[in-house]
Amino acid sequence: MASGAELVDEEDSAIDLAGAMKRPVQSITHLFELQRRSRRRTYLAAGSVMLGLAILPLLAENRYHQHVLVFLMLNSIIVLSLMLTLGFTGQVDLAKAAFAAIGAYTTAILTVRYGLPVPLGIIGAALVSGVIGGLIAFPAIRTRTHYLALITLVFNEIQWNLVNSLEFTGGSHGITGVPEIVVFNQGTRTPGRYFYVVLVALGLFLWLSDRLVNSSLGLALRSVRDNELAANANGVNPTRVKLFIFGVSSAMTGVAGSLYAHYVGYIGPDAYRLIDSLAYLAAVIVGGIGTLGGALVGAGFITILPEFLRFMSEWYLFVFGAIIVAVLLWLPDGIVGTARRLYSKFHGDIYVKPHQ
Amino acid sequence: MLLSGIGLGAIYGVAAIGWSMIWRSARLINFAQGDLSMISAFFGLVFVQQMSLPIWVAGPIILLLMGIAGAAAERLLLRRVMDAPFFSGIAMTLGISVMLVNFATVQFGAHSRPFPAHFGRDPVAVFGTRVFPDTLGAVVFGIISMVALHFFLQYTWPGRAMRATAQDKGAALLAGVRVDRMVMLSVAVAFMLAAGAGLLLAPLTLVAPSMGLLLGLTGFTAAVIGGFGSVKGAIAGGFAVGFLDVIVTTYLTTQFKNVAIFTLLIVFLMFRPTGIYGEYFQEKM
Repeated sequence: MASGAELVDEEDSAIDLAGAMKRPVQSITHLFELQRRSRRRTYLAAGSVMLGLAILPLLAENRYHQHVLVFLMLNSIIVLSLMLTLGFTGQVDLAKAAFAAIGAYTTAILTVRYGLPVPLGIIGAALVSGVIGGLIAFPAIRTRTHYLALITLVFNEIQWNLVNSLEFTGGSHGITGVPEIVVFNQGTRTPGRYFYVVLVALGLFLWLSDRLVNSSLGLALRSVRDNELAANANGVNPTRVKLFIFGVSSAMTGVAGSLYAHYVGYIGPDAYRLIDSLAYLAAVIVGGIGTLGGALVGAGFITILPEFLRFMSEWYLFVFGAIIVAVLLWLPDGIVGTARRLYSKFHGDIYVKPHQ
Repeated sequence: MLLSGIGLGAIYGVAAIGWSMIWRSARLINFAQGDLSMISAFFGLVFVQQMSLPIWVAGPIILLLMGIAGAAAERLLLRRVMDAPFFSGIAMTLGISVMLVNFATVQFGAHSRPFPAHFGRDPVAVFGTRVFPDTLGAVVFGIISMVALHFFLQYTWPGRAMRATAQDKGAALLAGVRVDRMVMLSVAVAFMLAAGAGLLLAPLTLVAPSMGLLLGLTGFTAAVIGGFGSVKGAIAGGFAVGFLDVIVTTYLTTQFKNVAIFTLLIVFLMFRPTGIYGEYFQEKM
């Protein structure tokens, strides 16, 4: 790059990821965001949220409610991962369900077919999902972003077809007999207990995501989302950043899928369908793009709402689509985003929109 | 078999043009495009079977309805989302798609059913082979619509206004073009094209609420191959995909057809995202 050389670091117009973490980008926006929420307030909020979640199973009336809560936790992880790619980096990933399925199948195959211990199964799931995610994203990232949406959409179907027909993945019957997670010599297959297993995982991922989002890498992500060209001009390598976050997100989803497999003890091709991928997208949008809390709200939306809509059994998907459209028309910042905006207005604060 | 390829190609071409038009005017990829064809096919079913309207009446009515729907959709739904970050547009059209598919599933049931033939059931002998009259009809009507569209875009005032809007909204505005109306018109035309594709395709395959996804993706593949945003390209791409479809179905199994089309799509996206005739797009800044 010839002119404006002082804006670009000397070695290259692209910074590597380790460099991004060592060299925070200085900008007014950065300052605002840092000041807007001090660390302490964040941890306080997060802590209370986790506490609230932790007592949920105790409030549940029966085992079925607890079962739903477990799925709430699982979905939260997946929605969180999608929030990272879509909400913070602007990549439309419509294949989350497929990656969850991949994670579930991987751990099922590793633990059932090859007899590996459960933790290795989960790690394997993360690795396989992450790698496949990277492979899928790679061709699309260098072209238009819409293409990623299409490719992931198609990938859902491809994954479903493959898993349904291959002998290796158990065909349409799936794989049974997936072992449960044993913590301190206690089985965890009951909903009441497994909830806490997933809650721990969710907490870990939330913490990691928070660190990521508030680091300079997080700022790099958001810059890529808001204006890729400008980000590139500022020394961010969009391709690498996008690829990295996509891989991480896919790995996270894979872990969620593997947790699903260890809970249900069985994985089949119908566990995660295309509709679920779309539901996760809806969750991110309804919750609020660019917010971590929005991931939880969105997950709650797609997990709890269907239970209430059960009386509408056939129309429930229709209502779902209608809600997506309605939210996009009237609440473009999502629930959490709008809440924050109103809160800031009320306090006379400057509100930094999660996205343009 | 050649004629089947042309027939399917014409249908896919028409569908692909719909994709291109919405992209060029509204800068949106309409994920619901295939589902629009599906809804049109179902409306056709209702009109023809339950109301016993002949297809000559039902067809234009459906086209008109879809055109109005397109204008309404643009004004009410799409306009809000056109300037927002692109994932809003994707999510919006996906939401619409879900609504359409589910509506159809609830109203009509999820199973697939045959669509009565437009032009009669008996194969007709043409050029030494026997072909279903509906395939011929698809060829004829497909080509007619493409020619008509080309004529419209090239030589009539609204058509040229639409092209101007697609090329450069600002310049078109300065030239006195009502840009918002043109975008609405483009979307309406795209909806009508989807309807046409749906109605032409319906007698050839079974009609089901899920057919939208497949037709949409095939149309999209055709648009990509030909070069997104170029009408000529969409036509070329449509024929390419149509032929591929027929060849794969004849020599391999039908299952493979989908895989083949998707693979082609991915290959093109990886190596030649601008397609054959396409213009190169700058990222929207």
